[in-house]
Amino acid sequence: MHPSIAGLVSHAPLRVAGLSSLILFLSIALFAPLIAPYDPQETGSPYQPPNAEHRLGTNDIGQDILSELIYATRVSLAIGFMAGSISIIIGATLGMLAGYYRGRIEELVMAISDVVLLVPGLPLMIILAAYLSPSMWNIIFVVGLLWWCSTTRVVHSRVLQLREMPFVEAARSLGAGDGYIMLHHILINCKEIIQAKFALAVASAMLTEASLSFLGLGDPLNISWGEMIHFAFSRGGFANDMWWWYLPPGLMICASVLGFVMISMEPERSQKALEL
Amino acid sequence: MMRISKLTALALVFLSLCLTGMATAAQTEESGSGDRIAKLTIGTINQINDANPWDYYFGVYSMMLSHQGLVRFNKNGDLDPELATSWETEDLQKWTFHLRDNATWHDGKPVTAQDFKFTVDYDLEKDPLSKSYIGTIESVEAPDDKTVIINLVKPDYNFLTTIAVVKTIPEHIFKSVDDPKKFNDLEAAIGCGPYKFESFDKDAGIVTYQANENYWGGMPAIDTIQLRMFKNPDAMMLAFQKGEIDLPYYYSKGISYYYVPKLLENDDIGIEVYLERGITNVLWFNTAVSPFDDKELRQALSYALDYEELRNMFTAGYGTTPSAGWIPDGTLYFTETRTLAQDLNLSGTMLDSLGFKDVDGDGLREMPDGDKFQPKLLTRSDLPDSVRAAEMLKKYFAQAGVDIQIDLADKSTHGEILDEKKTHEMALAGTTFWGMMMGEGYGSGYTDTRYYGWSMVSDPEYQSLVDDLGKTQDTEERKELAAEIQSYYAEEMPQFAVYSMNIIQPYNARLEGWEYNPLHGILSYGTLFNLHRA
Repeated sequence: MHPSIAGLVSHAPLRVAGLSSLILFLSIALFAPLIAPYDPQETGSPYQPPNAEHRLGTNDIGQDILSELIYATRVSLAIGFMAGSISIIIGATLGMLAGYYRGRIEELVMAISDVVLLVPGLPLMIILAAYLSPSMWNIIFVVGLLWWCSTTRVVHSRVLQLREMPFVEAARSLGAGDGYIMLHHILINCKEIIQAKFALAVASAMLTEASLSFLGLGDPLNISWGEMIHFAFSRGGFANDMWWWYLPPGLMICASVLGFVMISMEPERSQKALEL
Repeated sequence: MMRISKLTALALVFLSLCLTGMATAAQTEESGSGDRIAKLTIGTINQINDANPWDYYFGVYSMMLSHQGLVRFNKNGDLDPELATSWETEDLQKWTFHLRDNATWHDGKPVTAQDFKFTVDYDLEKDPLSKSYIGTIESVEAPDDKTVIINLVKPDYNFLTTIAVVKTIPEHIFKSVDDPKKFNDLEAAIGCGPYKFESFDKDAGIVTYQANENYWGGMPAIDTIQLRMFKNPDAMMLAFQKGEIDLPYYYSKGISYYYVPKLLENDDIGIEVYLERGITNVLWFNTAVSPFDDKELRQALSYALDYEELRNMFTAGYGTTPSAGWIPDGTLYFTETRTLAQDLNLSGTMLDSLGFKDVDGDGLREMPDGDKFQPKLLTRSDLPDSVRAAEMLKKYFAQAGVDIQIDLADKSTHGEILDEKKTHEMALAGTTFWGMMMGEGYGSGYTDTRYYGWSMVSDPEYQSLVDDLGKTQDTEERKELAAEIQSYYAEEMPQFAVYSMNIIQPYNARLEGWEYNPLHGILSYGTLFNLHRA
């Protein structure tokens, strides 16, 4: 093994494992048409158990479950990344503004985030998802708009520390504007926190999407892993012990969420070390 | 650490939600004295939101258990006396009903003719949708406590079918209620039927009824009936297999075929298959909007579907391939019309001749004016079977070059669009036994704009047929009219069946006396009085 890779593995094994799993899932999503044995929309003989033609059998309308599983990676990851991005953009922006400017902006942002944090997340998302029509974009919108608060609070705390540091004061005394300082000095020093929160936000978004889809509030026309479990659970998969239908998407959800969580764990430790 | 624990909590919530439907229920059957059943637990995925007769599914179960009308359907689908002991009419326009003497409300007050008059007047005043089925009632008179006279705006041969679903409500409770849909008091559920509503635990999803010892027809055979709601059919079937419920029940439907093999392995479970008198899934066109006002387009689209594959996929051996005449086999005066079959060449030729051609070469047809042809197919999002059927339809229509857009809506929005707003272009929805009988029968209630009119037909030729059915008593003439209306459907295709499956009804085989009727299925009046331990 290359010394630098070996060093990285020994220094941050969880992060390497997480990154490897992320690369694997991204590759599955990107190369789905090359990997999947069938078009996931193609219908045929339903409820087939695993066999030579269909490694994971077929679902209730005769679609190849393995192909569906591979294509569902795209939807699940896309929802996770997009919802995670929305929540991180909102969370980091508000956290920086609140921490840097303080005063009324800080009070307002913190008050709003307190209110949103007080509301139980999943039940609220269930209500919103039920109220809005079932579509992939609504799920992204709902999850993205409700997952920003914890990022705001963490970024806000970090910015409170940074804004008092000598290098920020020095930049300010040299005439640097607020925008310049925030982009070039504050944001860059919040990078690791934001990266870690982004990984967790993606994982949370994927888990939330799976929960909403399982409950029948997802978008049945864009099959994600959660939707696969939903159909297995409402069209005879569970009642007939068809583990090959509901278990693989469940394992994919677990593995991908675990991967994102592992990515976020190491930087947290190094960040703490820096702070010390 | 904090972040991880939040994520863990979310995962636990997810897991707990997964397991909710599988939670062990209370004991479902207890020993009663003799052959009596102490408790019957019914599982359903019909969702009751309020214990209020205006809640759709609570209304359905009220009609079976706690409320009564003038007449009721028996096991053959004919009408028997209920609150009325006899009735007469000379001209089909003025109907006189004589009520029984000994019927009382659950609070002890007598049921009178004035209560029924109040019920009809109140329904018409408070519920705009009631006009869709009792809108032909001109007035109701109650000359004495036990006589009801109903005057209609026109003769109606089928009136008994209509009036059978009007559940009588007590005037002394509702006369001071302005908005019945918001009246969720315990008194709202007072009826005069064999069961009294006892409680609704919304969080647990359990509705409980107790036998009415003062019921005019005697004590029913089951002391307590508990209705347990499931969000998910698999969870319900797992509970049934484990003996936690005695009966999986859907109003006007049976279970899906893919549950049958597992159930057959269980000696404590019996299964009956009954003829479907409604239609499981129908494709509706809004014939009042362009381009669906053109029958040739509707015909062309009907040739795009592979009915054999749909039958195999959604009904296995329990269904039939539908025919163009739409009316299900088993209906009185059913006539044979051509069996629906896929013919993509014919579909394509017809679409070409109508000007729906692929102009831009993307494989999908444009409208004659060059705009994209992307009709919306309204589909219930809460019914996985319907979502899957819509996916199959999208595939078939794409093969014919038509790019349909699946428009998902929950039950209430779907109902609001079909029943009231009429803003749909195409819709996917099933029909019920009573639905096919409403109006003047033969699906006229669903078709004719003067009733629910999901396909918005106001063609004078069709409405004349419906009116003739209303005023004709001669058997031969009715037979001819029934044949004509089926020919009309076969030719005009305002809607057509996608597939239809017979009712597969499993039940607890340790109990005997289950009786089926086409309106309420196995939860019939006969079952309530005949059920006993095997």
